[in-house]
Amino acid sequence: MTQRQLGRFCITVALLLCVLQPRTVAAYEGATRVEIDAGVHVPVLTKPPALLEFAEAAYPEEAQKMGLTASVRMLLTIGADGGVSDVQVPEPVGNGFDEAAVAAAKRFSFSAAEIDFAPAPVQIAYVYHFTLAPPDAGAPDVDAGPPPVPMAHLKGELIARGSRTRISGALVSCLNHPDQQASSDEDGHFDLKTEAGACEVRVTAAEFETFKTTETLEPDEVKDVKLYVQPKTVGYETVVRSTRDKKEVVSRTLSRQELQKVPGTFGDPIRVIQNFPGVARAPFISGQLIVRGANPSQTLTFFDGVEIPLLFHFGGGPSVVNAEFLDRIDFYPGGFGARYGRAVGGVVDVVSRKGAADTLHGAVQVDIKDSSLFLEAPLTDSVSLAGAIRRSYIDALLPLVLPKDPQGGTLLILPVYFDYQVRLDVGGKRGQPPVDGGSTFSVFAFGSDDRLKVVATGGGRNVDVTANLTTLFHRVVASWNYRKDNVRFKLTPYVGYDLAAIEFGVAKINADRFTQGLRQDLEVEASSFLTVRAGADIFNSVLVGKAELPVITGTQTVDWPGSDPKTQSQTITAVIGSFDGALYTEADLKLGTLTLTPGLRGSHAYINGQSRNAVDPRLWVKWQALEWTTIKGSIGLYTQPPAGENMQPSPFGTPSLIHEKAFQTSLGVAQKITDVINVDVTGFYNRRYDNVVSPGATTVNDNGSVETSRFSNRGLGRAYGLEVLARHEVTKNFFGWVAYTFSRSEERRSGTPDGYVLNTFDQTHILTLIGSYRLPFGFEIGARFRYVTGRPNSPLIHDYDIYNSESNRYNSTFGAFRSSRVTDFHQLDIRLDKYFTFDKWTLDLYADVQNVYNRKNVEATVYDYRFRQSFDVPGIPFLPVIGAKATF
Amino acid sequence: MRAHMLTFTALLLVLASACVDRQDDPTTVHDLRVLGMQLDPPEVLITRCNAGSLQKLIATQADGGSLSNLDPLLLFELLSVASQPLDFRALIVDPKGNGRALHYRLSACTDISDRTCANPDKRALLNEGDFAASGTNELALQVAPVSELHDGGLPSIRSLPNGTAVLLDVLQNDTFRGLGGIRVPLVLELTAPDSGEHVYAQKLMPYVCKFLPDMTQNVLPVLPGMTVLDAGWDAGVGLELSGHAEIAMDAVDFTPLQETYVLPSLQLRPVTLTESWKIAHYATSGTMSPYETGGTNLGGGVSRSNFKWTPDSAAKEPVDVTFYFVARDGRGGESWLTRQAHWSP
Repeated sequence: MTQRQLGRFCITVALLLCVLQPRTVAAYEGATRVEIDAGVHVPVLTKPPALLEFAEAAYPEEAQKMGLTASVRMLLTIGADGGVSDVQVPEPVGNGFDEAAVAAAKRFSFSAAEIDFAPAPVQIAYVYHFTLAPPDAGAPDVDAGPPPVPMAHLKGELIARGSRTRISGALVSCLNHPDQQASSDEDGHFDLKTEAGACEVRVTAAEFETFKTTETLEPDEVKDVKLYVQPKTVGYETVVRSTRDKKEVVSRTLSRQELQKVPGTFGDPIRVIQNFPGVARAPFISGQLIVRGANPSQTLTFFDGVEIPLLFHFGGGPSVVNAEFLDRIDFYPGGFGARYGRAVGGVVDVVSRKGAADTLHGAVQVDIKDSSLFLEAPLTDSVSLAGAIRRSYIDALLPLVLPKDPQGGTLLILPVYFDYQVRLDVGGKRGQPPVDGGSTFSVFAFGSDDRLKVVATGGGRNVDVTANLTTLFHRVVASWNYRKDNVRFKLTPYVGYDLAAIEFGVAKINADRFTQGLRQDLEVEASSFLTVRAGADIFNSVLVGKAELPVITGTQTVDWPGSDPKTQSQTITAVIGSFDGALYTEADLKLGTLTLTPGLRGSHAYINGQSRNAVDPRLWVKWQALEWTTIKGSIGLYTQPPAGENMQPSPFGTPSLIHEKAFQTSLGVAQKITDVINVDVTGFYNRRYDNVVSPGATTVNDNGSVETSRFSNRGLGRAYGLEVLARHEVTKNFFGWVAYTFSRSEERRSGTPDGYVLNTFDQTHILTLIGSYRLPFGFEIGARFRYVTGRPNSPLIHDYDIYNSESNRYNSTFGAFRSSRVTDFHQLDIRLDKYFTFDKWTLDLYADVQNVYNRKNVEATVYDYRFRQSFDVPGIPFLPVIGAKATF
Repeated sequence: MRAHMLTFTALLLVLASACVDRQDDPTTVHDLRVLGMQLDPPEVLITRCNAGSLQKLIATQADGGSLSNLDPLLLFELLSVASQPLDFRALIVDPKGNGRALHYRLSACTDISDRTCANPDKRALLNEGDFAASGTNELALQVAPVSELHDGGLPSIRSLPNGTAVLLDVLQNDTFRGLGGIRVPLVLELTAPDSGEHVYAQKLMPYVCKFLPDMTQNVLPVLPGMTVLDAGWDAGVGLELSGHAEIAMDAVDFTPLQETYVLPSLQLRPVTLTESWKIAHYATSGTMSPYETGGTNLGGGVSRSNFKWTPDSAAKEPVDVTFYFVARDGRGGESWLTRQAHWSP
């Protein structure tokens, strides 16, 4: 080529950091699937884009006349169809070169890249070189040529500053010799062969600031260097995805740190779920998930597919999973797949991640309530280990801030929580695609331990109180993944142990639960229009309970109002077995733009000697109406077996309980507005029946003895509404979303003439606005604003006092049940982060401020002793929380 | 696992409740109140009675209330105990009333959930009149909630307007069919015509079937006395108190008076319990702390009865203070003591 540019395709692979496309997913995620993925390198580039059609750039005339050359570095966004949808020039060179290069690049055509084996948009770096050909002087004169140029090697590692993550796919060159370039491999290694002498080193990589330094190379020298490159985002790269369909529809990517920076969540990613549509606001700062009108107990929480008894320490503290350990969170507010069962509300599946593949990494976090340590490292090329531990120290700090016992005795409140996670992976590095025909294995152990000790004795108090509460669980989960051609297989056996123990005076309750389970999932892509999934989900638990209690008046005898007598002590023991074995199957039938996914889940439960069966048919429909428009719907039956402890004989349970059931439907549309803005709207109608409610019926036998059913299946519920999520994906400096839910949730009891009344958690309007903006100098500020309709209550009516002389208490008189509401809730939370980035580690100092304008939101209502007046109990006041986090 | 959740929520609620506005203190009696109601005896034990006889009694309802199929001996005992008059007393305090006349109505109601006895089909009027709360502040009556005496002294079963016996209707409405006693609700309605103040107060009168041989009839809990600053405090003695510091009070040890008694469990097995009296404390000026002492908590912890009186911090002038201590045995028995003091700043 003469006097022409030499377009060189420099780097085409491994630059996927703006990839928005997640893994394969089936149409059944239909209604609304919100997936939060906080892991490292979760999307895997399984096929890089290849340049199919090159377009020459016009050499700028003026530059040509002046004899100027240039290299224009561009970031190309390649769509899932292979077309170039966007071109950016991070460092313009001027003289018309930038415009010419951009115009040419926009005419390039690539083969589609694949992420996790599905076509997906990717972003790559591309350098377009404008060079002037030497004058045509006929055949070269070999003898007259210049002497050979002495060469040297600049080798080394590219390391992300702050996190020490190895940088792959980066371009290394000497500015003074732009034709001599090298790219870094997956371990961040590069080997640049260049002319000896001074080399103005330049490193360019997507999502990293351009790195410049100068190295002097002697002839034939091989120089080894480590270059710390400043990332545009600090720390780990992780993703959060909120998508309706993992395969073809919208997906969104956020960094882990951005996920952890939603204000008001105390940096806890799991609490972010509470900011999505369909989730009602929980009182105070509790972690309850109130999903589409279902009770919190009807939404199940899994960790790596294994049910765990609690997600938050003490029910409302930090989550029991270290945030650094999260790969992603799958949240299904309804319409979840047949793989999941035993729930009539929603499902939360927290997925852990493999340990680091490159080198040792870690994080240390310290705040006012606890500290945590996270470490991860590769042990060999194919084995990695990660571990985390956290311990609170509120028990040590509380005595310093609590006033002396006002009664003059001893007052101690000592809450302690602790959690840990350890994961060993064999086969397959994090961030790499699974090998066809290969297996990967993992063993994951995790657990949580909450203890609360309360001592209030002596002094002027009339009753000495000593109480100890313990809640702990441990799980060990193994996993075998196998992939061959179009077949995927996963086997997950697990065992667990739970303990709930209460000591209160002479009363002692101890409940040990031993759990065993097995999950097996098989997926076969039989053809381009048929994918079949099937599996088994087997769960067994044995509860061994022992209680030493005073006789419980009111439960074991007929109670007298206000009576608290001294009673006999008794020992109660129980061994309760609960088995639930389920088989499921689903099939994706692709008929052009329409995908139908019928599914079926059948289960057999054997609980405390009682057999129960359930068959749950489900159907999901997805129609890709337009390129950026998807319409989806779901309909199905969902069942939840009764808890074994609730099926004890009278008076402690009701052996005749059956499955709770829910008929769930939803219809929604997902619309991509721009490359970074998505909107989805979903309507839903859920009807729940055979809900377990208390108390049940009381029967008097012929001999005068009494059977009291503690529970019954007479609960009915219905919830319907509309959910809207408008989300701005992560861009250079901003992310955020608007979530709005308009809904109504009602309940009643069958067999009574009473009609439906509002559910206690009914909230007509729930609006959440979240935004986070990255400022210069390492600052970042985020805000969350919430507006929620006040919860229902019953209006207090007082025309007269009603005194009960037996209990020495007054009775209340209320108007129509839950016919009024407390005042609406609104609150602004702000979070400010300041990052200090060092070569080998990063320090994040943050302040998370709840309720910035100190709104007195109503969380509860109390009354004076005669029920003449009501008083609002305010929620969390202005509350700043500060903390520090170091990652390396 | 729910225990922690509940504990956490309760803890939050308790902490948050401390932030609410100041409320009226129940220990300070400043307007019309009923502080206690006593029936003597507090319980009637029907000895010739078992679960079968109760079932027969209920069956009479189906027969239109006919008692002809009932065991004659049981019928006799029922008539006997039903006609036994009870001493009814109510402690009514009206500090601002200046001796005004209060209108009262005392009714037997067969629907225990009808706290105001509003349903005329489910109530039988026992007594009605006017009363001035002064002196002992006690309304004292003799009542027979489930029977009535006719001219000539002949007793009969008291009936509702539809002719159903009160006792029978209460039994019929009872979820436990009399296992915890046939609890006849008495409702006292008090009206202050001048101010429109209106108070309903409910007291239960248990007629208990002797399911188990060891069951004995309850007797009234009577406090042996009170102390203040560890010194005896007799009735009629106007104690001189001064200063704004809180003053420790106590009840004379009543432990030996707390009865051990037997109840049937839901499966008709004997359960032995011991009374754990509760004492509620009131004053016409200042506040008592705590409101109530006594009882046994879920962990078996028995409450002591230490309490304190704190003078009204706003009071600048001497004032006569009346204290009321109402004891409850947790089985329907109630009694009270009244003490006087003169306080000066």
